[in-house]
Amino acid sequence: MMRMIKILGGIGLAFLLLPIVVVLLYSINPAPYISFPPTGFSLRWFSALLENDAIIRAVRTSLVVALGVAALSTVLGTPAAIWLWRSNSRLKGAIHGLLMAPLLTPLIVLAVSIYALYSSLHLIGSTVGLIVAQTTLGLPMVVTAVTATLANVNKDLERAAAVLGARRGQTLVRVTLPTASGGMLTGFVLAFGISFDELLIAMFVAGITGQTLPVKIWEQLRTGVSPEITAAAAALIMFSVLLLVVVVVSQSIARRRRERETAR
Amino acid sequence: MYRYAMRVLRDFYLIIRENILLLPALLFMGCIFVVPLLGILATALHLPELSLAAFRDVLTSSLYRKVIFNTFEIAFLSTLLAAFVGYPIAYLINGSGSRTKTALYLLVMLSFWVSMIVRSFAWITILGREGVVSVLFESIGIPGATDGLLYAKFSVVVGMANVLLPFMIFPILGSMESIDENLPKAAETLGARGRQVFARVFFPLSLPGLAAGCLLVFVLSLGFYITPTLLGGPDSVMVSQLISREVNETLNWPVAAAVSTLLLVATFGGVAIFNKVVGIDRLFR
Repeated sequence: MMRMIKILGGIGLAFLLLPIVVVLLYSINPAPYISFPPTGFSLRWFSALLENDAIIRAVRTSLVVALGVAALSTVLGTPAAIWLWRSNSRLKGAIHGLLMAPLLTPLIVLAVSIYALYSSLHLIGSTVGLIVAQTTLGLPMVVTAVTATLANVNKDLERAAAVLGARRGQTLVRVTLPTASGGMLTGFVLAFGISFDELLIAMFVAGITGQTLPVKIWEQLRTGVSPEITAAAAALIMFSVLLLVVVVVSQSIARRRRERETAR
Repeated sequence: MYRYAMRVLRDFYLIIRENILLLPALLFMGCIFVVPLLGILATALHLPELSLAAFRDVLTSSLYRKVIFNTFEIAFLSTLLAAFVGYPIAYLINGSGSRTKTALYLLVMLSFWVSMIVRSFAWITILGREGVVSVLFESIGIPGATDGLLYAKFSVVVGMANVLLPFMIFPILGSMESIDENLPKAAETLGARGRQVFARVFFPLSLPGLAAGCLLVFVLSLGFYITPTLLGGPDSVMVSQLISREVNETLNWPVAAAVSTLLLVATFGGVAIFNKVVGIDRLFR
C-alpha cells in the first residue's frame, strides 16, 4: 500500500515536470517545426533568438521593469514587515491580510481594474506605471520573506538597543535592518521573479511600446508554437533555475549567519 | 474648541509617528489596489445612480451562465486531479531521506518558479496532433489516441492541475511534516499493519493540509486566464476570458465589472472559508 503510494508519487512527479522536460527537448531540436521525437541536437533556435531584435528589446524591458518592481517592493514592503513584527495592534491581522490580498485576487480582475484607473489618468504605456502596477504583486512577496526572517528574531533586540542608548532611527538602521537583510534579499528576488513572469497586468497596462517578454511570447503563441518560442521558453526555464539558486543560497547564508549568532 | 482641535491634531500626529513604517505600503495599496477594485465595484453597480442591471444581464444570459458553470466545473475537476496527483507526491517527498527530500522539494519549487505560460503551452506540444502522447500511442499501434483532447475541457483541466500542483503539494507536505513520527510507530507497535497505519492514523492527520491545498487550488482555478486561453476551446471558456473579451473587444465595461465582482466574491468567499478552517497565515509560511 505505502509502496504503491510512493510509486504513484513518482509518476506524479513525472507528470509535474513533463512540460518542462518537453520544452527543453523541443528547444534543441533542429527541425524547423514542432515534431517528436527530436531529430538531433542543435542550438540554432537559441542563436536565432539572439538575432531577434523584438525579443531582445522585450528582454531589456522586462529586466528594467522587474528590477524596478523588486526595488520598489523592497522599499515599501520591508518597513511594513518590520511594523507587522513589532505591532501588537488589533488591526495587525487585517493589515497583513490586506497586504497579501493581491496574491489571491484573480489576476485578470487586478489587471482590468488597474487598466481602468490608468486609462483615466493617461498612464497606459508608461514604464513607471507598469512598475507601480506590478508592485502590487511584488510587495506581498517582500512582506512574506521579511516577516519570515524576523519571525525567528527576539523582539527584545530592539529594546536592548534602546536601553543601550540608541535612538529610534539608529535602532532601525543599525539593528533591525541588518537582521532583516536576508529576508530583504529573498523578497527582492521573489518580487523580481514574479514581475519577470507576469503577463496580464503587463498586457493591459504596457501598451504597445513597453512590451515585456511574457507579452511578446504570448503574442507569438497566438500564431502557434514555433521552435523559436520553445527556445525562448527554454531560456526562461534556465533563468528560473538561476533565480531559484539565488533564493536557496541567500536563505542558507541567512540561516547559517543566524545559527552563528545564536551560538555566540 | 481650539484645545480640542489641537488634541485631535496631536493624537493624529502620534498615530502617524507610531505607524510611520506601515504608512507608505498602506498608502500604496490603497491607491493601486483598493481604489481600482472599488472603481470596478462602482462600475458594476452603475454608481452614482445605483442599478443592478449589469448583474441581471450576466445572470439571465444563457451564455454567461454557461461560462460560469464551465468555470466551476473546470475548477472542481482540476482540484480533484491535482489532489489525486499531489497527495502521493507529498507522501513520497515526506517519506524520503533528508538528501532526497531536499532534492525533490527543490524540483517542486522549480516547477513552481517556471513561467506559467511555458508550463501551459508545453501541453499543446504534448497533447497535440503531432505531440508526444499521440506519437507514442501511434508507435504501439493506436493512431489518433489524442484526437479531440486538445483545445477542450480535458486539456484545460490537465494543464491547470499541472500548473497549480505546487499549491496542492506544499500545504499537504506542511501537514505531513507536522505529524508526530511516534504516532505511526505506536500504531505499528500496537499491531496495526502498514495499510491500517496509513488509513487510520497517517491519512486522517494529513487531512488539514489536503483540505487547505484543495481550497487553494480551487480558488486560484476560478480566476485562471493563461492556461484556459492557451489550451481551451469554444466549449471551455472561463470567466476570466469573458472579462478580458468584454474589456478588449465588446468594450462592455458594466458587464465586465459585474463578472469581475462575482469572481472576486467567489474567490474571497473561498479565502474566508480557508481562513476559518486552517488560518490564512499558514499559506504564506
